[in-house]
Amino acid sequence: MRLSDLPKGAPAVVDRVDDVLAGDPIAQRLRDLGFVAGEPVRVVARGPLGADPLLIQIGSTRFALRRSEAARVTVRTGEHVQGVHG
Amino acid sequence: MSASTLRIALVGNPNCGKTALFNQLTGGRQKVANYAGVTVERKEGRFTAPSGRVLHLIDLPGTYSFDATSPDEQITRDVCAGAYPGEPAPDLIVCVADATNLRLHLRFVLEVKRLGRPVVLALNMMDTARRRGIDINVDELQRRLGIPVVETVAVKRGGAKALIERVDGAIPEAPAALPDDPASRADLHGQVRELLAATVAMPRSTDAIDDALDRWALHPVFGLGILAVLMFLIFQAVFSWAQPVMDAIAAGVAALGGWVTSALPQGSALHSLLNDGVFAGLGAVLVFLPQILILFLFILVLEESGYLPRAAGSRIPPAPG
Repeated sequence: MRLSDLPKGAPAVVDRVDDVLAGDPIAQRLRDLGFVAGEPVRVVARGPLGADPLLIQIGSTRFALRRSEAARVTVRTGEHVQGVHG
Repeated sequence: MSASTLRIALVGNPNCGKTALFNQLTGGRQKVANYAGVTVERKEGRFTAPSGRVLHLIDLPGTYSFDATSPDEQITRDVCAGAYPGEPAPDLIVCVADATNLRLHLRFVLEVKRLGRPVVLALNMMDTARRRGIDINVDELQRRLGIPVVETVAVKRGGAKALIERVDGAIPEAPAALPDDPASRADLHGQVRELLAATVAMPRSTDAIDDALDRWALHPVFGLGILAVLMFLIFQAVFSWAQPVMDAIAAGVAALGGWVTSALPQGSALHSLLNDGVFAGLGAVLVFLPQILILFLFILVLEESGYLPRAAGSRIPPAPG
């Protein structure tokens, strides 16, 4: 599931960040900011118009991402992710 | 005054309290300029350590990563590496990290360490970390990182004492320089996770009060409502609270002008110059001071409370090109 489609408040973990183009600088920046496999992530809030931007919490840090940026992140949901959320 | 001056560069993630620390250390002795050709602020200051040694401090732009995506991040990287033209390499890098957010900030510390230059890690906001119940084993962190680690509270008087003592002492040994390639970069997060698991005990990921406030402030409907109400209140306050003070200032300046010029003959050029020129002009400018002060008070409150980024819906900066 893409992070941009994750329901608000649902716990998930990052699976991977995809490059939209070769050497995608936004994807690289997202990885630098901590969007790496296994990190717990959730959507804290959505913007009022077209649900853009999204407020994303990763670990204890919050970032506001545009939908197109959040769509680069693939997440996993389900029971096996409950444990990593403190 | 000792002849030896030490050049220290302050680096860290955005919002780690680096600039607050810089201000605390250097006080008013700062020089603000621009890096040549770019609108990136260059802040330099100096202070005299207890030993009498003069320390030159340079406050580098906040950076998430040395994999630069903006001119200010490029400058931070180049200055730290000693590759910026006309800028001597720092003798010591002080890497500032927010103790309440080490998961994000430690990664950059590891990046700085790989430059192979003497580094001191300043764990800032230690008071907030303690209050939130975040327990950091500083000795263990220091041992695992292989660089000196000190605790600081940049917003408290005397909160930089440990850092001053450390940088005033002998320069720590430089860690081994490591190549900067994509494979080893990808590994940094793994190292951060290991470090955190071994040295930090965290009760929960965020402040409960923050969460409760954000539920309302960031709600798609109520959030906009709160923003509208706040803006209306500020607008009202700027005009209605300021009015009595503005009236008083206008009357006061007019009275002062009348008193000063009362000795001069009515209708003379000097009377007209002082009364209609100097005092009328002064009054016309001063009368706006209350409005400006009230407006800036509100901006300060919004900024410091952290509401402003929530209202703005800030995001990571767009990549160039």
